[in-house]
Amino acid sequence: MNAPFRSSMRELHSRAGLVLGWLGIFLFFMGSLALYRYEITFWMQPETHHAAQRGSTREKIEAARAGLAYLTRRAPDAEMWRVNLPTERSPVPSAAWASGEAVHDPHGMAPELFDPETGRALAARETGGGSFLYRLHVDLFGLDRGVGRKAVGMAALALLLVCVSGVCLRRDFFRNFLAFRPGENRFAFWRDAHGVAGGLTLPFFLVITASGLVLLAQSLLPSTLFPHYRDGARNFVRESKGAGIMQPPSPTARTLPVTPLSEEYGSVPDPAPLLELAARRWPDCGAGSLLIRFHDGNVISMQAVQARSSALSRRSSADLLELRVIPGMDRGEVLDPRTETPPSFIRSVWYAASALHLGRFAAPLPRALLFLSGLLSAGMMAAGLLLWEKARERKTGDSVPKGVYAANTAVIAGLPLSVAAYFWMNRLLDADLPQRATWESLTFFFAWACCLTHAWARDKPAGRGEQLAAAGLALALLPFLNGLTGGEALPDTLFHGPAQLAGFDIFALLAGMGLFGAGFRSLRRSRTASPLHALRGRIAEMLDRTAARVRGAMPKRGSAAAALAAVRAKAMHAAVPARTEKEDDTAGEHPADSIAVSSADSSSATGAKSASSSPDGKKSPAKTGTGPALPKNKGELSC
Amino acid sequence: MTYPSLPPECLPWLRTAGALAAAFITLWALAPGLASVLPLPPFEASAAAFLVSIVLFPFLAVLYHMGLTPLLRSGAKEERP
Repeated sequence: MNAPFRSSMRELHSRAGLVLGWLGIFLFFMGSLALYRYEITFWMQPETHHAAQRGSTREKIEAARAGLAYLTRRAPDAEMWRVNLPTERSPVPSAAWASGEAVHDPHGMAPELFDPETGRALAARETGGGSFLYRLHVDLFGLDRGVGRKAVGMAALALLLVCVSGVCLRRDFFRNFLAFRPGENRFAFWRDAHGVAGGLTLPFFLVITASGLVLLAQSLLPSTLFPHYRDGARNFVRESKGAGIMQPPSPTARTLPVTPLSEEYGSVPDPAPLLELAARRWPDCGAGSLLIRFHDGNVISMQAVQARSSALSRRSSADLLELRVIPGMDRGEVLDPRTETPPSFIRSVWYAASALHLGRFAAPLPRALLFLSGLLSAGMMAAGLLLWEKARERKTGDSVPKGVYAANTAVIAGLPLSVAAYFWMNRLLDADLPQRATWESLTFFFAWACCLTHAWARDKPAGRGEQLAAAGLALALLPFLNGLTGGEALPDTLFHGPAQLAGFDIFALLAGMGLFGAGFRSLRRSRTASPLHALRGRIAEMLDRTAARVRGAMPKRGSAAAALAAVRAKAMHAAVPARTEKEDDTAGEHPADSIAVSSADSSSATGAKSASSSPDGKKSPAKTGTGPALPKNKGELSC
Repeated sequence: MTYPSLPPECLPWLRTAGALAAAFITLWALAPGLASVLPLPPFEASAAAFLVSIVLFPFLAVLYHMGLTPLLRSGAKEERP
C-alpha cells in the first residue's frame, strides 16, 4: 500500500475513531444489554418474581387458561385477546386486549401481568426496565425518534469506515492476530489489547454494524426509497418485516376438538389442544402467545404464535398455528399459514441481517455469545481510546486534553456506573411514586453527567480508577440489593430458579468484581497523585530550599548543609529512576504509533510524571530535570 | 492549497469530517439512481441499492480523504497524522 493511502487510513482511523469511539462504546454496551431487555425488566419488577414460570407445556396451558379467565373478567367486550405465555425470556404471563382499529396493531396493546396461580393481576411497579436501555441503543432515548435513528445510523456507517481502515492498517493482521504482550509498556499493552480484541470481534463487529444499518435503512438513506416508494417509507418497512410474502392460510386435514373452557367463560374454547399441537410442532420453544379473535361475541379463531423464530432468513418473525372455530361445532379446523413465497436472495439477506441483529432466532447460548461479543467490541473500542491517550502522551510528552480524558472516562467507567445507578434507583424509589420510569431514566442521565464532571474536576489518574471502583461496587452489590428489597435472593434463584434472575445477579456480581478490581489497580497505579504524595513533594521542596540556604550561609566543606544536600540528592536520585523502556519492534504498524514519536514513554512513567505534578495540576520543573522531584517512596523520604 | 490562518491541528479533523460528509452526500445522491436502474422488483431494488451504498461508503470516504489531503494543508509545518 502506498504512503498516501496508509496516511489517509491512519488519519481517518485515529481522528474518526476517537469521536466515534465514544458513541460506539455507548451503542455496543447498550445494544448488548438490550439483548436481555425482557430479563432486565423482569429483574426490575420484584413484585412479579414469585409468579415466574419455567415455560413447560403444562405451565403454558395453565397460564393460558388463567389468562383467558382473567380477560373474561377484565375485557369481556373486546374484539381481540392476547395472552403472552411464560417463556424462557419472559417467565411471567400477561394479558392484553384490543377493539376497533387497534386489533390491526397487536404490538400496540399494553399487557397486564397476572399471576397464573391466583388469576389475579400483579401490581408490578412502573419501570422503564430493559426497554429504556433498548431505546438508548436504537434512537438515543430522549431525542426525537427520527433524529436519534439518523444519528445512530450515521455513526454506524462511520464505524464501518473506522473498522475497515483499522484492518487495512494492520499489515501484520494474520501474523500477529493474537499477539498480546502484557509485560511490556502501557502503550504496547493497549495497542495489543486493541488489536487482539479487534481481531477477535472483527466478524461480529462487521456483521452487527452492517445489519444495524439494514434496520435503519429508511431513516439513514431515505433517498434510496424515492424511485419506488414515493408515498413514504411505511410500505417499505412493512415489506421489510415480511408483509406481502405471506400466503393466505391454507386448511390442513387436521382438526382439533373445541371444548368450552367452562360454562362461566361462555364460548371461549380450551386452549390445551392447540398448545399441545404447538409444542409438538416447535419442540425447541413451543408457543409464545395466544391470540383470540371474536365476532359478535363469539370466538372465531385462536392462534398460537411461536415463542421465537427458528428461521434466520425470515424476518416475518414467528410461525403460527390457527384454529378456526365455527360456533356450535365441537371441532375446529387447523390452518397452516406458514407457506410463504420463497424469498429472493436480496430479501433473504435483508431478513437474515435483521434477524441477526435483533437476535430473534437466538437460543440462550447464541444470545449469550452475542452479548459477550458486544461487550468485547465495546472493550475493543475502549482500548482504542486508551491507546489514543497513550499515543498522545508519547507524542507531546504531555497528558491528553482534559476534555478528551473526561469524555473517555465518562464513557469507559461512567457508563457502567450510570447503568448501575439506574438499577439502584429502581429499587430505592418508592414503588408507587408517580412517573417512576421517568425518575429512573433521569437518574441514569444525572449519574452520567456527574461522572463527566467528576472526571473533569478530579486528578487525571485517580478519577477513572474511582469511577471504575464505584461502578464495580454498585454492580457487585446489586444481588444483595435485590434480596433486601423484595426480590428473590441469589441463593434461592441459583438452585430453584428463575434462571433469569440468577443470571442477572451472577453477571452483576462478576462484572462488578471485575470493574472493582480494574478500578483498584488503576487507583494503585495513580497513588502518587494522592494528597499524601503531594505533601511529601512539598516537604522535599522545603528540604531543598533549606539545604540551599544553609549551603549559602556555611559554605564550608563537611558542614551540616553539605550533609543535608547529600541526603537531598540521594532522595532525588531515588525518586526519578531511569525508565527507558525498550520500544517495541512492531511499533509503527498501528495508527497510534504514528502519533508516537521519540519522546519518553510517559505512559510507563506515570508514577514519576504524576509525582512531578503539583496538587493544582500545574507541572513542576521536575520534568525538565532542572528542579526538585518527589521522592518515590516513604523509605527514601525518611532518610 | 494552504491555509495559514487555520491552526495545523484542526486540519486533520477538517479533512476527516469533510471526507465523511462528502461520501455520505455522494451516496445520498447516487442511491436513487442506483435503485431505479436495477432491474429488480421495488423492494429488492431499494434494498440492493442500500446494500451497495453501505459497501461503497468506506471506499468513497478514503478516496475523498486522499483527495482532500493536498487541498487542505496548513501553511505552517503540519504534524504528521
